[in-house]
Amino acid sequence: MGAKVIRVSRNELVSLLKRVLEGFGYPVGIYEDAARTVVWHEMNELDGLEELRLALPELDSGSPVFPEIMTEDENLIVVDAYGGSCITVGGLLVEIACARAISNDLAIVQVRNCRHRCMILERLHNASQRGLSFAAYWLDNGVVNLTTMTDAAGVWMTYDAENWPLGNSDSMSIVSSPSMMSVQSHLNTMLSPESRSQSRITVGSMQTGYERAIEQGISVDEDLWGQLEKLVARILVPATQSSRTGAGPG
Amino acid sequence: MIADAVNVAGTELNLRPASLVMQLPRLGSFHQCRISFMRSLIRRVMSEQWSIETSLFDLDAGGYGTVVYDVRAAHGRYSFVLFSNYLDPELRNDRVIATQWDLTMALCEGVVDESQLAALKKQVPKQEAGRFDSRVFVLSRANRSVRNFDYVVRELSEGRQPEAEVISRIGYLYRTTAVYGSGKLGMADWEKVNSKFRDFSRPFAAEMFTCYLLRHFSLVQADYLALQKSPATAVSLDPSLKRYFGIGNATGLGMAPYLINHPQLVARWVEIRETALAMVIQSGSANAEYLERLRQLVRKTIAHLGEAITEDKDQTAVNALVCAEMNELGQWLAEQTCLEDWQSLVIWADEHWHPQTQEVINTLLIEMYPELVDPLDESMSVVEHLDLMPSMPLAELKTVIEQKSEWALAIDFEQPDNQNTFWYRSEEKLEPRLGESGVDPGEELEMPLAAARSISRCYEAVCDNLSRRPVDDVAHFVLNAPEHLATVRRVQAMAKTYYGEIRENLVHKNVLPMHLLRCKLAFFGANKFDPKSRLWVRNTMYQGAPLVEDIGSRFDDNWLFPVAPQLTTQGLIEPEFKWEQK
Repeated sequence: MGAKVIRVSRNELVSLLKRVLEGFGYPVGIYEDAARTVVWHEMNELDGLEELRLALPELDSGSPVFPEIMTEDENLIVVDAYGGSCITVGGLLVEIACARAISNDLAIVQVRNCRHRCMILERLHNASQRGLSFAAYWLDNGVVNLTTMTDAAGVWMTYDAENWPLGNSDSMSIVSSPSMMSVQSHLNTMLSPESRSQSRITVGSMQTGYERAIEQGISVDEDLWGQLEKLVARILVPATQSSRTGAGPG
Repeated sequence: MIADAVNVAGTELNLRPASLVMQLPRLGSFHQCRISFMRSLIRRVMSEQWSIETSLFDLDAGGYGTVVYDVRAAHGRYSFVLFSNYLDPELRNDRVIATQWDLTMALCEGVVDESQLAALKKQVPKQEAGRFDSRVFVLSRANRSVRNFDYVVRELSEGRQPEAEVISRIGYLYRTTAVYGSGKLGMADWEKVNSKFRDFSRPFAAEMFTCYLLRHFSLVQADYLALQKSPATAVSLDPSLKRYFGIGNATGLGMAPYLINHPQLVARWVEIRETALAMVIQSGSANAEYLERLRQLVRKTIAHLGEAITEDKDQTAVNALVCAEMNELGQWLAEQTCLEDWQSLVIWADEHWHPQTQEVINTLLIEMYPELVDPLDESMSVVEHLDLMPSMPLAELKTVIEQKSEWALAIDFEQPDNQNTFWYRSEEKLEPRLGESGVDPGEELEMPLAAARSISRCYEAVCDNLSRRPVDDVAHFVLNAPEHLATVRRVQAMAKTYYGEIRENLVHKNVLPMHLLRCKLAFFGANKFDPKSRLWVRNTMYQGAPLVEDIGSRFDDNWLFPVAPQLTTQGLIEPEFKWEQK
C-alpha cells in the first residue's frame, strides 16, 4: 500500500516551504529562491520534495552556511560552498556565473563542497530566461550528470564517469555564456567523442509534468506535509489576549 | 503639482510624480474608479451577457440549506455553491480567528456533480480548516448584519418596502470576512485561472465575482424568508432598493502584507490609474456637455457622502470636509460655461483642497471618459519577476538606491519611533499582527515587511563594501552578504517601474496600515469606508451595481458613489444623476 498523499497547489507549497526555511534561519531572498527551486523540481517530476526530505537535517543545522570565493581570474571562479546545499545557495552560484559571463563572454564556476547538486537545474532554468546559456556537470555515485540550459531548451544527461576529468564527489562546475556555442566548446574539451549518454531528460517532457501540476495540483506525501507544517510553528508567535486586541478581522 | 512627461504607447503623458502618488496617505485616499476590478468585471458580465441560473435551491423555512448557481460566461461554465447554516449569535465574529459563519461558499470550474457537491458540503463550511482541489477557484464566508436583515425581512413580510434611510446606515445584508483564492488550501493556482479561464484572467476577478453572487443570494434569501414568514402579505424587495444593497466587507491586517509582497503589481495598478487620469486631463474635452456631467457627478457625490455613516471621528470629519469642498466645486462649476481642459481644476484642487477631495475629483474626471479609460482595464495584470541584475557594478547600484529610494534613505532608523513597530504572524491562523518593539513578545520573529528599513540597511552595506572593494559587482556583493539579496533585486526591479515602492515606513510607531487596506479595497472597487481602528476597516462592495436580473438590459455603468432611492408618489425612484454614455 502506497503512502497517503495530499494534493496541494503550487502557491501553498511555495508559501509553506518559505516559512519552513525562514524558520531554519535563512534570509528572505535565499528562502524565496529555495522554495521555488524545490517546487519547480517537484512539478517537473524531478523529485524536488524527496531531495528536500533528504536535505532537511542539513538545512536545519542551526546556522546557515553560504559560499565564499577562493580564487578568481578572468573566466574561472573557484568557490567553496562549505557543505551548503544547492537548494539554498544554488542561486548565488548561478548569479556569480551570470555576472562573469556577461562581462567576459564565458564563465566557469568550480564549486567545492556542495550538496544536492541536482537542484541546480531550476536556478539555471530561471537564469536562462535572461538570455544566457548554461551547462553544469557533477559526479554522483560514479555517474556524471550534465545539464545544459538555454531559454529555449534544456536537457539533463548522465554519462559513464570514465571519460571525464572530474574532481571529488561534492564538486560541481557551472559554465555560462551569452552564446551556447561557447558553452558547447568548453564541454567539447571535457567530453571525449566516445562518451555516450546513459539517460536523457528534456525540458519538453518536464513541461508536461509542470502543466499537469498546475491543472491538477501537486501530490505531496502526507507525512512530509505534516512534518513541514509542524516546522512552520517556529516562525509563529504565541497568541495572547493582548495580541488579539485590535488586529482587526484580517 | 509637477507632473513628469512620460511616453505611454506613443503618446506623451504628464503622469503625477511618484513622490506625490506613492505616499501612503495619498494611496489611502483613493476611491473606486472605472478600472477598479468590480467595475471592469461588471462591465464584462453585462456586455457579454453572462447567464446566471439557479440550479439548486434547497433552503428550509429558516433559510438554511444549499444553493447552487450555474454560471455560463463568455468563455466557460462555472458553479457557485453556497451553504447557509444556523449560527449561534454568540459565535458571530468577523475576525479571521472565527470558526463558524452564517454563509460559506465556493466558486468552482464547470458544473459540480453530486459527489463534488457532497465533498464541498463537508469542506466549505470549515473554511481554513478544510481542504479543496484545483477545481475550486475561490472560497469565502459571510456573516449576517442581523439588525438590517431582520428589519428588511420583517418589513417585506408585512407588505412594506424597507426605508431607504434605514438601509443607508449599513447598506448590506451580509458582510464577507475573508475571500480566499490563488491556490490557498489546495484551490486552483492563479497561474491556472489566468491561463485557462479567460473570464477570470484579470486580477481578483474570480474573487470579485464570488462577492457579486453573494450579494445576489443575500437579496434572494431576504425575499424568500419574507415569503416564508407571511405568504399572504409578503412583497418582494423593490429593484431600486435591491440595487442600493451591496455586500459588506471587513478587512484587517491580513490584506496588508500582500501589497508589500507584490510591489510590481501595485506599481502597475497605480500607473494605470494615473495613466487614465493623465489621459483625461490632457485629452478629455471640457466643453459645456462635460461640465454638466461633472456638475451632476458632484451633486451625486455630495449626496453619497451625506449618506456615509461612520463612528470614526477622523473619517466623519474628512467626509464633512470633502462634502464642503465638493460644494465649493459645485459653486465654481455653476459659474463656468466652457473650459480649455481640466488641468486648471486639478491645480486648484491641489492648492486649496484636502487630498481626499483631490482624489474624489480625480475619480470623477476618470468617470466621465469611458472611451478613454475603459480599455486600460486590460492592463492591470503584470507577470511578477524580481530578477537580480548580477553584473551591475555595485557603484551603480548605490546610485540607483540614492536616486530611486531617497525617500527610504531619508528615514533615520536610529530614532526609536522609526522602528517602534514590528509585524508578526500569530499562531492563530497565521494572522498578521502588529507588536510594539521592546514591549510585545515575538520581535525576533518579525515578518520582513519593512522595505524602507531593508533598503536603508542594504545601502549601508553597499557603501561599506565599496569602501573595501570598489570594483565589485552586484553578484559579488550578494554572495558576501546574502541577507541583502532580496532587497537588491527588489530595488533593481522596482527601479524599472514608474511608480516604484509605497513610500512609507511600515515600522513607524504611528504607522496607519488602514491606508494600505483602503488602497487595495479602492482598486477592488469598494466604497463607504468605515475605519474601525488604525488596523481594520469596514466597507461596502457592489452598492449601486446592477442586479443579476439586470443582465441583458441596458447598462450605463454609472454606479460610482451610489445614492439611496427616493420615495415619491410614483413609488421608489433612483435619483437622476445619469448622463447618456456615448
